[in-house]
Amino acid sequence: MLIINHIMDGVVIGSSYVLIALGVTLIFGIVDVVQIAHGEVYMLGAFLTLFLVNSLHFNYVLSIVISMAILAVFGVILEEGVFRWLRGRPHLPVILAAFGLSMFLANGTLLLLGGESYAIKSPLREQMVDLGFYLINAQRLLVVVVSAGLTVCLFLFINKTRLGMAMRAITQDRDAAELVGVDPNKIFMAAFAVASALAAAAGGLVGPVFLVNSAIGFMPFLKSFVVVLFGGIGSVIGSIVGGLTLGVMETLAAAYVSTEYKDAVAFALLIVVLLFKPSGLFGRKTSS
Amino acid sequence: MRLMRRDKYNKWLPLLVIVLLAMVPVVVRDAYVLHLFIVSSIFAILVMGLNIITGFTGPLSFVHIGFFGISAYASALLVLKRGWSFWLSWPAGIAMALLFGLVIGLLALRIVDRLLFSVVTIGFGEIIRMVLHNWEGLTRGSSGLPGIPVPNPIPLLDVGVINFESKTTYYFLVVLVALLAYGLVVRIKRSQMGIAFFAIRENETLASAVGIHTYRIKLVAFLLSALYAGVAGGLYAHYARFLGPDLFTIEASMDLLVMLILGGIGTSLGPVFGAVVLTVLPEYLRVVADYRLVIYGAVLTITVILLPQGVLGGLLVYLAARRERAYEEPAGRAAQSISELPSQSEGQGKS
Repeated sequence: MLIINHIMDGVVIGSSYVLIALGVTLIFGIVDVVQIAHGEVYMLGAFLTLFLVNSLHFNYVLSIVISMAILAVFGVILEEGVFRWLRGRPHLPVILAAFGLSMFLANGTLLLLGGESYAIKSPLREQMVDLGFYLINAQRLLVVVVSAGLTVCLFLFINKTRLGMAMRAITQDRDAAELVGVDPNKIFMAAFAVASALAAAAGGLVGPVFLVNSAIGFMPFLKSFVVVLFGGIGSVIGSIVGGLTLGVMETLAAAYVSTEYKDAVAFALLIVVLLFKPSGLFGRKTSS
Repeated sequence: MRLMRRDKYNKWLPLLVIVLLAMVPVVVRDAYVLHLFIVSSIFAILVMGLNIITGFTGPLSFVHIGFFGISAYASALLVLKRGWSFWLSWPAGIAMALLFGLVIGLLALRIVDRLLFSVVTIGFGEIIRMVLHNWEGLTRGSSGLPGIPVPNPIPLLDVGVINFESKTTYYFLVVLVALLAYGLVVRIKRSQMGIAFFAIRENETLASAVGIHTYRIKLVAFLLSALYAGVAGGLYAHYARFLGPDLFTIEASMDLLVMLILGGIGTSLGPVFGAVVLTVLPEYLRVVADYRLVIYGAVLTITVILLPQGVLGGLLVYLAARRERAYEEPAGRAAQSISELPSQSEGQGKS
């Protein structure tokens, strides 16, 4: 029974990786930017939900929706304020700029809000749900269910809506897409908005389970980037499989190998993937 | 013609710099200022190393600070636990950095994509930091290693000993090493090897097509950078006399990158300039100390957007453009040292 507990924990953590990784892969696939500060967007989403729930006593679910909306706007601001100016530049300066942005946001939050950790007071934290075969904490179940729901929404959005189709068109052939009237700037803004909203959702969902502080952003970004490379750049299925696999592997490693080196699992996976299968599990395009 | 003018400069300029640097401890009576000189010089060596792989050759390495940490810890532990002399433990620490550089380089440099390479080096860097942090039995984990001794005194025949208890002697040691390190950078830059580095930076596929063994050359650059990190690591450990794993985090990588970018990436002097300015400036702007990483983050982002060649690099380009206008000759020495097209212009210079 114990191993089921660990696997369920892994699925909960993995779900948050999936949500963050979907955003990273969306921005990487469409805008061709490695959004290192995406982890900080997740962190800000968690803080915003924390503020709305703990201080203003808003409804928990409503708070997540509000923070998703606000962070979506924030994502657009990042794209317009920073990454737009780096368009056409090689990867190196873009990584550096994103890295600087990430440090700016994380340390700015640290200065403004201090280094303390908080837990979002979700009403579901104390409740348990009986799945028949397994008793699970309601908050953890919510993380998995909402993540799955958002992933399905993203999938439908990309495949069924005009904006989603325009996004795919941009990734496939930018010139041709522009010729038929797709404005890349609008698409890039949309990609940042959607990705940032997903990260904010992840922050709000996981905030009651794990603690919220200014430093929680970088590791999830790094891990979600590992997930993206593991699953294959631009692949939604890849992100889902990769995120859940990494989450489960980590909790199992923490339980049976060593808690201290649990974070090393992601990097070991990263190194193995990049050395032996650089295109990832479900990747179509190989790295140039 | 151009070469001759460069030689004329080169005759007196390095000598002047050496004399000025030698006079610093005589003129400067303030131990704190001397301390800043020492720390800047150590960081200058470290950033020069980063510049060789990232500035000259192209791949952005986040594991550089890890090599620095490995060498610092190795040297400190050999002295503390095995009772080695600094003069043996320092080279041993450098050897450790080179060994890790070789293993990591052999694996990671197979990844040609710059972006993926840099992410993998974040992974290796974090693993190194995690091991330093969690291997309590060896490194004492987060409580750190206190009481690292200064280098052993060197006896001079009958005259006395060179004692490293004083800041002045440590200053001479560090500055001497930094000067040698700088000299090597300048030599590398003008060598065939340097030209190969630049060729890889500008276009790796093309470089490989014209017969450059890109993998091997990149490995050489990576090892050279590890060498610099190793040299700086031992010097740091036995000067600071305390090591903790927090010194080798991703934030520390950030410091190095800001020094490199702000100073001027790919130039010889840029890393020195960046290291000195960013060591001295925060010390004198005490108010700013808390805001350091916030400001660095903003500065890095803004510099990358507005001044792709860094502050010193941007200045050199500006001066070169002015000189060009004044003399109506092709872009001069400064522009060449920025080396927009190093393989081409350096190649012409040689022939």
